[in-house]
Amino acid sequence: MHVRRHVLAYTVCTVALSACGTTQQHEISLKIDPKQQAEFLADKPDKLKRLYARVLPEGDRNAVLNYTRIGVAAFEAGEIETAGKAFDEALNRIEAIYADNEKAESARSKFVKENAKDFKGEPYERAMAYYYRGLAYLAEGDYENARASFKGGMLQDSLAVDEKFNADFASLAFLEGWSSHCMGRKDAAASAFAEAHKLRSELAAPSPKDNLLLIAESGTAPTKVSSGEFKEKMEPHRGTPGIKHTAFTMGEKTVPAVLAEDVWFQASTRGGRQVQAILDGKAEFKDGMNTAAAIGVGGGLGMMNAGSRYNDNNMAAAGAIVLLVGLMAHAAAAATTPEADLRYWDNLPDNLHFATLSIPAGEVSVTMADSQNKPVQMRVTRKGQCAIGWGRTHSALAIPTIAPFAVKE
Amino acid sequence: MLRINRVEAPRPGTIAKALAVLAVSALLAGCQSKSENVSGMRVVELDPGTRGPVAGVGIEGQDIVSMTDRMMRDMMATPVLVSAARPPQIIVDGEFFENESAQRLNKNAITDRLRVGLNRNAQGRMVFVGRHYAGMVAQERDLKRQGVVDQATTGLTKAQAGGDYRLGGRISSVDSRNPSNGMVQRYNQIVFEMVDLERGTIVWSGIYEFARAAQDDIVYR
Repeated sequence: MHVRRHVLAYTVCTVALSACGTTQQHEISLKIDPKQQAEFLADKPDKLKRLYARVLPEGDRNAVLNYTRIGVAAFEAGEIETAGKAFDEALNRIEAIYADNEKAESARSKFVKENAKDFKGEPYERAMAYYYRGLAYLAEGDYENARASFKGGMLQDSLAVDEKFNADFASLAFLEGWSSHCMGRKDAAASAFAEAHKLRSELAAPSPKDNLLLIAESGTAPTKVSSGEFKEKMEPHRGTPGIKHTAFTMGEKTVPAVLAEDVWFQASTRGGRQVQAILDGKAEFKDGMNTAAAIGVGGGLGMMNAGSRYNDNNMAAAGAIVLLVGLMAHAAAAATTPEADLRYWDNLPDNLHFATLSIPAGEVSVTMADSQNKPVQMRVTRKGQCAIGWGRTHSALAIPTIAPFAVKE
Repeated sequence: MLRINRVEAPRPGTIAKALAVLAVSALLAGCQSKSENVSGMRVVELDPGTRGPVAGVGIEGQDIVSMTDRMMRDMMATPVLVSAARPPQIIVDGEFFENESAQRLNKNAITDRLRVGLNRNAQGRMVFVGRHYAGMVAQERDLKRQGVVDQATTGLTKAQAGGDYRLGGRISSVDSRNPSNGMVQRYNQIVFEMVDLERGTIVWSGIYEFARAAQDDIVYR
């Protein structure tokens, strides 16, 4: 009787422990005072309010994710200052060094999922955050900070296992050169354009008179999928592939563009993550505990049955202890969370196309083809020595309110 | 009379139960994820001259305080700037102070602090030209000359003040990262120079440099 009661009690505990292996506290949105939320949203552009509405409930853990999504959407909506501020929020967090950080430490725990950590993104996502911040600076005519952003982005792309994929973001080198070009810094521009050309031969230095940079972004963001017995491995997965060739139309003139960056290639050439060793360790522990649980529960039940059959209380009691140990191992296995973090920035493109040309003063109208091959108007901004035109085949605003795998509602 | 209460020894079953509960509790505690700092952090005053709770490897607030203080002291000890018979007219702004580093930066935070510090300490030994206010000054001069407003009290001049010297300089960085352990290192160099606006000579130079290295937690590598 006693034995049964104990087994029942421990079974309850096991169920409780198992529960912490599913949704964890950090994955649930915070409850925000409606007044505080309303104040936060009051000065935000209407088009972006639904995305901004996620910032407070998801807190610091998803701040980089939310602000980068908002940033691109704002850039597309023509809210350049808002886009700049959103990327500043994201980059300040990306640049902060997370050493002795409690949340990062908890993400290493066997019983806490990797996604407990504050999202900073994979190197390609971090580099793209710098890319967009740089574009916002270009649109504002702040070429020095644009150049600093593009240089900063290149530094983020230096964690690849294979050295040949380190700092190979050709588009960022080209844009660094373009920023210097717009400042009239010929030497610095030439050096950066040479670097871009070395990384991607299609990217040639622009003509000295060029003052308009056209950028077409096509396709959709690389996604992240899990693999492994316990979903402990994160693998990038290609989104909708971008177009291989495109051109811009300016009145009667057709301006061919060159493929300046393959974002998917950047996402897929990073190689192994160091954090994978921790996730593999968690998976190994979970596997070991599952084995121990199977042996303990099976053996314990067998001993209890034998004890009951032969009326041997000692054997039954010993069986109960073995069963309890098995149940605890089962609980530990269930509570172990080796799942890889799958959060990803979902309004990135698959690739980038650039073209440069010389335009006279005054307004210009440029179109590019969208995903249906229909012409779409590009947003051309001119402030300072150069102008920038930007367009997309897939809208950055056409994303769900909540980022993929960000929270469990 | 002293009464001694007899303490009952715990039964082995009780110990086993307690241990089991402790073990389960420990496991449960282990699986508790750290939640957001819901209560936040109240506003605290920070000394701008010391490192705050958020830090990186680039130029930070305490560096700006430190570098501008050092440059100011150095300039105040430079005879050509502070011991001239007629106080030189000096322009200190960010126009020719270029950021070539990999860090986004509002360089006005550096040049403004330097100018304010110099102006307060020079006490008339240097005269500072507010070239960044040139538009505002031109507007007022036009209004005075059109008679829309009176001539005020300090009189009219033929033109706005020109500069004898102007601040130039460069912010550079050399960045490196170890791909195998994610360690980042940045050497920061900030050069300040005072340029003679007639002859193009550099009458004063100052340099501030530092290097920092840091490494993110392994979960970010």
